[in-house]
Amino acid sequence: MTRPAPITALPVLSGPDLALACGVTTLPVSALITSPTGSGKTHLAREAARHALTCGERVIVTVPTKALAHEIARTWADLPGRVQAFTRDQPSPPYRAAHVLIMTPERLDLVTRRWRRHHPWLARVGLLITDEIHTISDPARGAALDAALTRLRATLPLLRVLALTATCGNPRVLADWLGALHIGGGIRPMPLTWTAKTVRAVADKPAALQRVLTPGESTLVFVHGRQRAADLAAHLKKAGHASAAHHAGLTPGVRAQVERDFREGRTRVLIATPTLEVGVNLPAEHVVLYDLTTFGLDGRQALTVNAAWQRAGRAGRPGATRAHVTVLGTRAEQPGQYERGRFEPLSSPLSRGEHLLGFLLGCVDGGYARTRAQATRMAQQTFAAHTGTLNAPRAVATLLQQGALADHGGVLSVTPLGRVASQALLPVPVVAAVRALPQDPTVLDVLLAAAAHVRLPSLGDESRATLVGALMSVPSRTLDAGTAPPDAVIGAALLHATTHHGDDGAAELSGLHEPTLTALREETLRIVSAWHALSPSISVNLTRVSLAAQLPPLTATLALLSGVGQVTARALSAAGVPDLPTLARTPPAQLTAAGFTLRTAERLTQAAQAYGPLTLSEPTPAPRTRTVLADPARLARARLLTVTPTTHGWTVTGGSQARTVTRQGEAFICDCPDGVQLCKHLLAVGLHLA
Amino acid sequence: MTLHGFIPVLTHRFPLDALLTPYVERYAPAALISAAELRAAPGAPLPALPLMIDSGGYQALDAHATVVDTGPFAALHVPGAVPLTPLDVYDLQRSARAAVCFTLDFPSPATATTDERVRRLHLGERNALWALSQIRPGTLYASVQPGQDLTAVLAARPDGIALGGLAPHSADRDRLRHEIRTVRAQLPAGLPLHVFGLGHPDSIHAALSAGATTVDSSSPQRMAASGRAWTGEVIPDAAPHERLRLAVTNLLTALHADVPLALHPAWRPLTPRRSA
Repeated sequence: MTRPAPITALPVLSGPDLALACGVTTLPVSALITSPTGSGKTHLAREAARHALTCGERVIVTVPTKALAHEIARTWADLPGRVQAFTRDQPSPPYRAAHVLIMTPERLDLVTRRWRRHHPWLARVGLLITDEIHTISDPARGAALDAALTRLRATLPLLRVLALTATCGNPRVLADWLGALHIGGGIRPMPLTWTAKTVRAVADKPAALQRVLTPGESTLVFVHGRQRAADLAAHLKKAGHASAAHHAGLTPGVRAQVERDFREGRTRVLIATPTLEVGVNLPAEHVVLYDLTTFGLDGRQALTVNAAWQRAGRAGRPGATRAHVTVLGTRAEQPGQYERGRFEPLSSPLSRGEHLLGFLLGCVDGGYARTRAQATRMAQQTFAAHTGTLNAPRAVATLLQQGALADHGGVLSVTPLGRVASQALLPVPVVAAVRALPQDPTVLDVLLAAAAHVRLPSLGDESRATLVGALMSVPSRTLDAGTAPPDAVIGAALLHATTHHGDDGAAELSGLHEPTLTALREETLRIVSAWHALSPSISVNLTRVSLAAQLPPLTATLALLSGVGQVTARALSAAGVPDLPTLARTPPAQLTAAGFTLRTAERLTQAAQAYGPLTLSEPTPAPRTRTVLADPARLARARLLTVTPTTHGWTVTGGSQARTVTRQGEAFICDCPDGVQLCKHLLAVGLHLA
Repeated sequence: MTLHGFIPVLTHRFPLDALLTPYVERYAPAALISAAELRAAPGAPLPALPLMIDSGGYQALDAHATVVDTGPFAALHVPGAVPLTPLDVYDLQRSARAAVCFTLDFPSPATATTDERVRRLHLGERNALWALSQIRPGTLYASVQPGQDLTAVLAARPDGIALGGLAPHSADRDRLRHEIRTVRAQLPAGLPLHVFGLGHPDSIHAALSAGATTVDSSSPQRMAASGRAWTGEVIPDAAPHERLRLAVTNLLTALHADVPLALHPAWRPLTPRRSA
């Protein structure tokens, strides 16, 4: 008699395994996969991409960071097709040449605004993989993802979406919006073990952190700021831990080295800012959630459960042998609340202010909407509308009022201002500010105007005085008139430093991180480039070239020649040719001696001669006004004062005595006895008005 | 090569056709372009899939068009256009590397006299016989009209037969079936039968079930341009991307028309036909 075979339970599948078993990668369906980090979502996405490629389709992958884009491009390179990350960090081939296109939501947003131009290759996209779709809730960047997904789905009627996240409190709502199946669950190969540690005060956290660290264990400690990361890393190093800081202020080279050291075990404790939350994978055994309170635009905010789990999910990634999470918090921060994993529902910030205006402007610019009804239909398809309400007609009215749209008998069209704002992904008022430049502006005037629209890093008084002092002899009508807002002066001083000393030199002068200055310069460059597109002038163009090439404006004149970029301009500068007029007078032999071919040398000198004389605005600086502007102490005091508008002007309080500031024509008059042209009260009013 | 089912018509004139082309390239077995379109836009890029190149004889339906007997073949004269001869059609089909070519025939408008109808049938047959006697630029279908005696044409061994003149009667499905069955009954087994100008899914279904091998139409785009889809969706002021969505819906519905529209399941994407 044969014995019956033992009964074995069939495995219960969930998460990505279930999705694979259901054929999500091969069937013509969209799917939302919500499962923990490390449970195989990336593998599922890769298999879906592979199947799409074998069917002759193309694939778009959206990721929240450029670093992640490059990592996926590297690890998916063996797929049967060209896998390409499209970021500004490196030259990219045309979109049509790639089969798997990896990009950030902002890049995809821009692609959809020009969908008809991209249609021949875009129409071949059959699958969109949206990694970390919970970032649709991000107050700063979520609107771009919502906009890009909405437009792409409107453009491609047969598109399948595979959306992935570990943290979503309302998966059914999100899946419903995507028209997708929802598959949840999923098992981490290495379950997380949570420990909550309560400290009496925030000041006790460094000591508590040391107590939870185990020697030799690879640990990621999440904090909220760059300075905290640097300070804590130094503190731990002093205490004998092999530690380092990881944040967006590090140059790509340094960051890569920090990551390599951690992977290879030379560094055991990495103090990281939220950039690692959705960033590259590092094999950590232990994650410590150190900062549980953030200070944002809305004041103090508790770390969200979604963010806590994203960070916790870094523990136990491939290469790690354990996975545990320690939450350090005060009683008020309730460190024990996170383990329960009650994720917040996702929503989109697209319905708010500038985001909605930008979305609708992009819709008209991209030809998605020519009427108010069409604009409303597009707005109704966003995740923001799916999870809340938004007022598209009012936004259209605002865009008309701003001059970004025109209405011809009910048919909407973008104006040149609107087109430039849309293509530059900038708010309309920022682009329109080019019209407020002084007549015949200098390069510094352009920098001052642009700096008023960028977010400035905080700067120490000493660095500020040095940098602003460097502007003393630089021609500027705005500075001479004393009308530049103090923050703009500081911003312009930083930008001036980057054009004269490069980002690295400006970093040394200011004490800021080099990437911070690079980001500031690139953000300003985006604005100035938009201004140049809308209202070309030699000063704006020179500012643009100067910022792009990190060259002083005079040297940047060389790059005004067709075919001369920053590399050639630098080479010419090194060859003793400081500017365009000099190049016109330079014998080709001098250039050939510096390494240029004779043909190139002749072409350059001939082009410079043909360019004609440069007419640059160079008013004489008025040092008296600028001396006051350069006084950081006065500026600092002005920031502490309170300004109250009155019927006659403004009352300034907070100093030893209340002062009255009145306006007479274009001039502001203060009744204080300070005896300087721009006292702290006037500065305070200027700050108030700015 | 033998094609089956619905063949979408593409032109170089309409933006919606350009937007739809990548979908046609991926999902349709072939596209049909008129020789007149090729002539109007020389050098314009052609869709990357097998092409059926129609002769452009449909222009004979213009009330002012005339058919001129030039001896060995007949030419079509349309006011304001260069005359179209079988030689022109031959050259255009060859330069487009047509997979399937059609001979130049001359359908008659509703206002034509009986004599003129008979004359045009006769001249169309003469063109077919002339074309079939040449070195063929591709698979060559002889264009015929309902009620035409096919004996002479079939004797010239065409690669297929193309039946025109049914578009005005496309709503009369019984008549469609009757005319197609009548022609099919005269053809040797396996000889392809193409029917011009049928785009409604029920017309396509009627034609295919009556023995047609392929049918063509630009209806998916024309319906979409007016904001409608055969699935019942209507958008009164459709934006370009919405018209494209409607056109894709119509295209897929037409490609699925081997079942009647009434029984048609909610359309779903087909497996892509070919590599990108």
